[in-house]
Amino acid sequence: MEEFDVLKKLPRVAAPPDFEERVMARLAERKRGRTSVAHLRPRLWLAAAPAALLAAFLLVNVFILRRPGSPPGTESGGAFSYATVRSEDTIRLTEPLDYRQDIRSFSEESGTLYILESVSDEAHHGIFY
Amino acid sequence: MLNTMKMDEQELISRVRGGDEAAFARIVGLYKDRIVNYIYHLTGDYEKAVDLSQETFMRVFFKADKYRPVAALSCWIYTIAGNLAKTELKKRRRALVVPLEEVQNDLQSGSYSEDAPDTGLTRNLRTALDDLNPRYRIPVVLKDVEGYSQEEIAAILKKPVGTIKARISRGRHMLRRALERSVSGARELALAKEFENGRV
Repeated sequence: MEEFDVLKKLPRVAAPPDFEERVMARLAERKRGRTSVAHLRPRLWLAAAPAALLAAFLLVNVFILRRPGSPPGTESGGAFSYATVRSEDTIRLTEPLDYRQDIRSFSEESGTLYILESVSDEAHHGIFY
Repeated sequence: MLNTMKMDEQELISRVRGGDEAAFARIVGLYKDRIVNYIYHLTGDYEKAVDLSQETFMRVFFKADKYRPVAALSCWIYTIAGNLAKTELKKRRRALVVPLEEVQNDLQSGSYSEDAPDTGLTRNLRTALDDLNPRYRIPVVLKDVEGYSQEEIAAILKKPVGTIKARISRGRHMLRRALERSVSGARELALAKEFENGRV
């Protein structure tokens, strides 16, 4: 490739006399700036850690412990678990009983009044009326 | 001698990696004039060239661990300087809007008068170089102003040697055309003036 000497006619410029001093001053300034940022880093981590823990706790509670479709207030699990039922979740039912079938010694006389009383101390947990 | 210099440079940069400011100051002293000259011919602005050169050396210090001795230290420093100059040139291309007051002031002061274009070679060269696309300007400056070989320029710009050769050739061709235009334009204007004055 031929030489293109015309550009050599361009004047060469030099750095100003105080160039090195200016570079070293800029270096000192830059180092100071980096040190102050590096000093902040551990504090930033300490501040961010509790926030990160809280966010993780909420995520676990909302998306993992509470399965979609479960009624509110119930815990996850394969088997049915006795849960605290709120009064607004219950439906009142009136169920007629045929005591002639259910009571051992019933009377043939009409108008007999039967007083029902609990014979067991155990409370029934399974069925709510 | 050259090998000794290279070994010294490798020693210097490895000390800079350890934070040795004296070694860093030595590198600055070795390269400051070349880097300022290089960036000046890329940007055309001396003050900006000085500022960008200082920034170049900042990066040499803080990124010394990134330097790999596969190429000379000078190639690495020129790479950093060239990248900073390119960024500056891109910023300038975006900011081509000139405030109206500035244009009006120039019109009133006569800066945009229809005087004959300066026939001085240096000014024409400067103008032609400033108008040249950085893609061609950078390799041409590295070759014809800084005196690097095509292989070294390929290492600096991280391009294949063939690409560098093509860009240098094209850049020189465009510079020649620009210089010819400015010279012929000056001749025509000079002739027109002579005609006006009744000498022709």
